[in-house]
Amino acid sequence: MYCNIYTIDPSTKEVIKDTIDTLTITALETDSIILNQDTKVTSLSLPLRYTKDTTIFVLRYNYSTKNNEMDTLYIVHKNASYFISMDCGYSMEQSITSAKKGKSTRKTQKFQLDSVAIKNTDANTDGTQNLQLFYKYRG
Amino acid sequence: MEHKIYSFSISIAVSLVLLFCIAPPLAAQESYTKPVPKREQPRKVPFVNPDTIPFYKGMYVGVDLYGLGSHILGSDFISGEVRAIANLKNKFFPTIELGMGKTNTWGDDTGIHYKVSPTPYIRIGIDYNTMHKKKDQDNFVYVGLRYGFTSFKYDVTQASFYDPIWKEYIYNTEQKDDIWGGSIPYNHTGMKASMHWFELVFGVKTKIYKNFCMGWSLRMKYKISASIGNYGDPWYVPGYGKYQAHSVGLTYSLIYKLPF
Repeated sequence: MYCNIYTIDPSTKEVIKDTIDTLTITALETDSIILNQDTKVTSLSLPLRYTKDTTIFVLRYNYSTKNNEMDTLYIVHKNASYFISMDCGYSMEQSITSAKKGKSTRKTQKFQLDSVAIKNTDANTDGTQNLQLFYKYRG
Repeated sequence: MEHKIYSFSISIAVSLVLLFCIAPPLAAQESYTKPVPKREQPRKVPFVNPDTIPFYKGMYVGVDLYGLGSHILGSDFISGEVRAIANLKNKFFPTIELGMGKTNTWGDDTGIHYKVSPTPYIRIGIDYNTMHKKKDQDNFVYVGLRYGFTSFKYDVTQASFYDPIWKEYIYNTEQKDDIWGGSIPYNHTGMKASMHWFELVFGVKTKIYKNFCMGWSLRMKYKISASIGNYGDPWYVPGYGKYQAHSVGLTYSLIYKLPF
């Protein structure tokens, strides 16, 4: 699943690309770190779970200082295994049915996820945008 | 006296040697005739007048042995095929090929099982004999074109395992979730598919005994269109081979010329 990060200028209503200074993403129900303190993040490539139809990501913005600034991203999707060939095995075809954000831990945190929009339901890793993540405008 | 006999013997021997050594070339010189230059020799005609060849020159039936032979030698696919060929002026050979193909294969160390039950396929086309002008009408070098079609069902199933230590099923070792763990089972039988394709053919055929011929052909196969199942691509297509945009095929045939 491929996501781009945006914000909306409230005065002009213009959608502009946003950049997160430092971002760590973990997958709920596991200790896997998907993104580890990446800096200047403008887009994300995230895996979806194979065995369940809901994937939950925890986005932490200032992990090193232990400030509890984070958002939660919920993705509901369908999974279908597709046979390619005896040599190549299978591919996982995943279709996003809905996406929403959880509550931010702090209303005062610098980066705060505002809304999520689905642009393309077929999850991919080729750079085709699936989700738009809109962050609150920081002026 | 003894010396005279010795001298006589020597002279006889020398005479015989000279006779055998010199006489033949002399005789040859006498019978020598000047060779006629090749361009002045009457020309042998290796070609046949096409007007003398009847339009219908006979009918052939053949059986392909390559599909069976390649399976014996280790191929995952097995097929058998019969064909009927008409000979028109020894130049054009309209052909119809009917065959059956199947496979029942387990992937090496993957647990993937792919099966196609015996399924018919058909090809129709025409060959052009590039040697039709030659007087020798027992050997053929031909190029041709085929259109092929098949409609079939295929099963793809994935072996799953039970882990007695962790007391859980490993459904698909080929597609594990690297982050959350686990896998989902894959078991789809009876997926329907059909395929249209064409083939470019190059082949040779020669008479081996009376009405019997044998020959081989090399075929470049190109997919025209295909309808496939919702949960996976077919891997083997009867009459075509591996499911891909293009494929290469071989045939080795025994052919019988019907006596009418």
